[in-house]
Amino acid sequence: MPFSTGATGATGATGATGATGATGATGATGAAGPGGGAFSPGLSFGITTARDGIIGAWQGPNRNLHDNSAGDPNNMAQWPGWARSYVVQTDLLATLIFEEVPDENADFRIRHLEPRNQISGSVTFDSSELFSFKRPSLTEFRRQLDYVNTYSELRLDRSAEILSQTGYPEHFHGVILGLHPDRTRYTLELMAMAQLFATGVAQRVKHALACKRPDMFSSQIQPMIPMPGHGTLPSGHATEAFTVARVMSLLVDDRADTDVGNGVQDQLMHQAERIAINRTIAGVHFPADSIAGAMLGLGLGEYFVARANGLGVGASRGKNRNAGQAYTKTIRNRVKPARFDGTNISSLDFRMRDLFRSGERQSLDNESSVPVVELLEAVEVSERSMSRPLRWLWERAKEEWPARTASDMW
Amino acid sequence: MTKYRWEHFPEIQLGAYTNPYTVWFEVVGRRYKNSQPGDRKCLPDLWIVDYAPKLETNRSWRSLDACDQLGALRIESECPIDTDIDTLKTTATSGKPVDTHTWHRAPLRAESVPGAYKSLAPCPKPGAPCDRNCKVKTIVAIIDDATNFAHHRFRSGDGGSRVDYAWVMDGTAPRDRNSATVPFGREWSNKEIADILDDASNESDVLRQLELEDFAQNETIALSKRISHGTHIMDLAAGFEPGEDIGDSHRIISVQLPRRVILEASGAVLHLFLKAATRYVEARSREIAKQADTKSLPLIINFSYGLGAGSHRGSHPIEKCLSEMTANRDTADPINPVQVVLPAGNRFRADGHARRVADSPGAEALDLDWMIPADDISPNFLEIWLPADAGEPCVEIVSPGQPFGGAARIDLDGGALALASGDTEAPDFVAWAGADTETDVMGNGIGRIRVLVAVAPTRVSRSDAPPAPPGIWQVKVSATLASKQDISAWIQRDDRLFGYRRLGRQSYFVDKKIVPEQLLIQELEEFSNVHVTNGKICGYGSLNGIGTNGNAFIVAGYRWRDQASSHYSSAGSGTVRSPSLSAVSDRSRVLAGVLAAGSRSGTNAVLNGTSVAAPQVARALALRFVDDQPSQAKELTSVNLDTEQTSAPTPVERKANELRGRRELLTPQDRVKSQMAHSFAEDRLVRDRIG
Repeated sequence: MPFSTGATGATGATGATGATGATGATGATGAAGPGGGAFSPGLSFGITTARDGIIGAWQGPNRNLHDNSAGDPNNMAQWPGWARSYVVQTDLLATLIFEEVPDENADFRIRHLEPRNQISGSVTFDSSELFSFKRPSLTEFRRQLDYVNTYSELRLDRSAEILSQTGYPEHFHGVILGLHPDRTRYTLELMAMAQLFATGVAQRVKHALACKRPDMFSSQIQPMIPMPGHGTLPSGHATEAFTVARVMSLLVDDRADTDVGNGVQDQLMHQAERIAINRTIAGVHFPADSIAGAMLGLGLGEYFVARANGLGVGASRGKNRNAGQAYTKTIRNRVKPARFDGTNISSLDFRMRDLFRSGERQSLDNESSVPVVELLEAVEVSERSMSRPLRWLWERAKEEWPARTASDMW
Repeated sequence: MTKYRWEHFPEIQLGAYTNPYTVWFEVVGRRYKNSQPGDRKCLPDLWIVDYAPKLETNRSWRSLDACDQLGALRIESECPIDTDIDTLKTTATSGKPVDTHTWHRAPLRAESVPGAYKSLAPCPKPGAPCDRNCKVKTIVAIIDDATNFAHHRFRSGDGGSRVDYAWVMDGTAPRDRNSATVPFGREWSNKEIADILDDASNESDVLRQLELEDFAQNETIALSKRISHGTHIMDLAAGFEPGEDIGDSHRIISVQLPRRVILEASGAVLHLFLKAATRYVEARSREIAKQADTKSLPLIINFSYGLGAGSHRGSHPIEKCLSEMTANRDTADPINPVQVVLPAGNRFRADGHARRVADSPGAEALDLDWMIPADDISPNFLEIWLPADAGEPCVEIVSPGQPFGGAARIDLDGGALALASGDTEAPDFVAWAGADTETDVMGNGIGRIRVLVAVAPTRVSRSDAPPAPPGIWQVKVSATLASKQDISAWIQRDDRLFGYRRLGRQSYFVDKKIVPEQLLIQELEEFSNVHVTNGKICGYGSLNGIGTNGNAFIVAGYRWRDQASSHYSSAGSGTVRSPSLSAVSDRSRVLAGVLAAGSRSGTNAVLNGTSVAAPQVARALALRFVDDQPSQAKELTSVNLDTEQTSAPTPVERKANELRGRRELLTPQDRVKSQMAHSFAEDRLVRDRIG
């Protein structure tokens, strides 16, 4: 619990996810010392009587005060984590359009708004598609149901993981990176923000697609954890875990002076895959949900980093076997949109490697070579759409990874 | 209340059939054909048929082409012989037994059987084994299930694989039947494995390409679990770090039996699959020997599997299969010597064995209270064995709740019994009891008489077949015996197998007269009462039903810390052979099991049971052969292993040690030893805390 300090407070504040991360708020703010958290009635009464005892006669302002400059991202340092989180979330969502205009190609689209011209105070925006989703039919879900049944055999083997991953599984990422609330508080905060962002978007897509959960298809699924009330596709856990994996691997790599092996990224990706599959084992998701979630999560991760203006070609791989090859194959200010076509999902099982390989997101075809996930030509997410508060946090988090070298990263 | 009544079939006489389990299944059991919880669909009805059973007695089959040996075992979609009750009755007049010895059910997915297998392409050639330059010194064959043969512990120094051949019997057969190299399932050659290892981006990808982790299969996917039986066993027998020189001289053949065969713990559908496995190991060993161009290549076969029942005289069909691999092997044979290693079994305290030995000639009876638990969704089997020349053999059975005097009785040379449920005119049988005699492959009666009592599941949830009544079944077998002859009973195992969901509940014998104090005393005395011959329940004689042949290494388990036998480790008796020796199967009283490879590379996991003791002996044998390539015929059969002798102060303890295989303890290998040292520290901590 104390692990999830900082911005996880925000998740508590929204309460939207029902995540255990909520308690994180007490970590960073409450326990941080005077001024944070709530006063107990006794403390409140004590402070009041003490004030009466010591202040003497009223004298007006008696402290020197330097004003903040408006809009300065460095002001972020003054705010509590939960408030920072609201600031960043609002910024992130401000350039997204959620479009419920079903046509032949999609049931739901997410577009990015790219600011173009600023003429005498008015800004025009170009919109470009970032994600589109076509929901699987009931027939497709029925075909997927066999997997939910066969995976259920692993329930007892995986129960420790499944039960501790019902909320945000931040520790499962943290142990890979060696996160600690004292040493890497901003990284933790960044991770929590990415997670929260992913949750919000995933929920919006879930609502739009309105797909029924596996237990609605068969009375024999009997999930081993409470079935969430919201829609099944895309999987929120897959979206969040892959967003975190992508953001974290871009963070630890986004420094020109280091060469980070792909060991960390690989572990993060495998962990995300396992978290997603554990939900199928538990009986609450189809593999199709994880495919859609992973597609969305990986893309949102890159979008999140682009909004912090953190994308770009990563460090070279140094001592790695493929020395010289850029490890992070992202291009500054460019993100590839992705399309999910659930009507072609067929009996595809979910594998991380189908969607992320060699440091890059991948398209995925079904057995008959019909696209299920299709990556499109990259669209611009430029500095003009950068969130300066998010940028501030991104830089603080980066500073927490100064002395990492390849030898201890892979 | 359901009424039960026994029906008697006097026509079905001793010798009417040769495999009572097949008859049970065809007459009664089929209606109860269980599927695992969550099974998606029923499997197709398939049978495995041995078209060359006589090869067993004709040793020249070794010279046959490998494919012909294997190809004689085929999967059929039609039951070879009609075995309904009417057919069985007619054998009384024809005098020809229903030969069920050469076929039994084959619980395979349709995808595991190549289409139109009968016309399999003539002798498809297996892939080449290892590199010609590789210094092969010994072959270790592991017959098991759930084996990650791509695990890093089986990789060679050059990044390839030390597994030369792997046969996944319930794998997906190639669609092009002309490319099938095995009669069913999927074979992987060394090159295919190495190519996948080279190509795959991670271990999940490897397992996916090897079709070992495919959730589209309607099967237990054991390699997704943390611990898998086959991987653990194979590591103990032949696992090395890829850099270790010695590893590259150990070549590996892996056979994974069909998961549903392993799951059927009665062993009723195991025999021909095991025969296929041994023929395969033999054939592929020859390929390796050819490539290695050596005159004498030792082969160690480990089969960590056990059955509860059987003749316990070394005559189980599986034992015959295995012993033909070892016995009378020509020293000019390039595959030479061959050693088979089996576990002693884990049924010492399972209350599954009783025997009565005649002190003097005369009438004797074995009186059993057989407890069949309620809520058991799998059938229960009890085998009782009598001497071939027992006089007036007779079985009496009282099923639970049957009124006093309601015993059904058959004289063994005159009939079978079936317990019918309800009052319907059409018989709804829930139990079957009949006798057969051991036969040779020609169908000639050669040995002892077996009485099989088979009882349907006590819980039936998915069909209209009636459940059998749970509770105590009284079974009394009587006969006139000569002095020292015995009547012995064994219950088939029915417990949960490692890595699988629980299907059955284990039945057991109850001794109504025993009081708790006596149980405690037995426990404190380490069950040293080795002379139970009066029909009481006894752990001595509980040896693995397929591990009683003299030719095999039978390995018991001991606790490393105090060198005592592991509490479950089965034992011999006056009439059942003793285990050859013991290897570590538990670290201490507190710390069960030994560490070896988990399902995935880089992981270790703990597993216990005599299953993990056997492969340590297999490893010791293999290492022995690597160190000291035997050249003289005499040396081929006896191998000196690194063992410690135990001493016992009293004759009773000495006898107990002998029967439990504890006279010789295999010294743990370095790797196991270092784990022990580590465990010991933990153990001491625990012990300090508790006491």
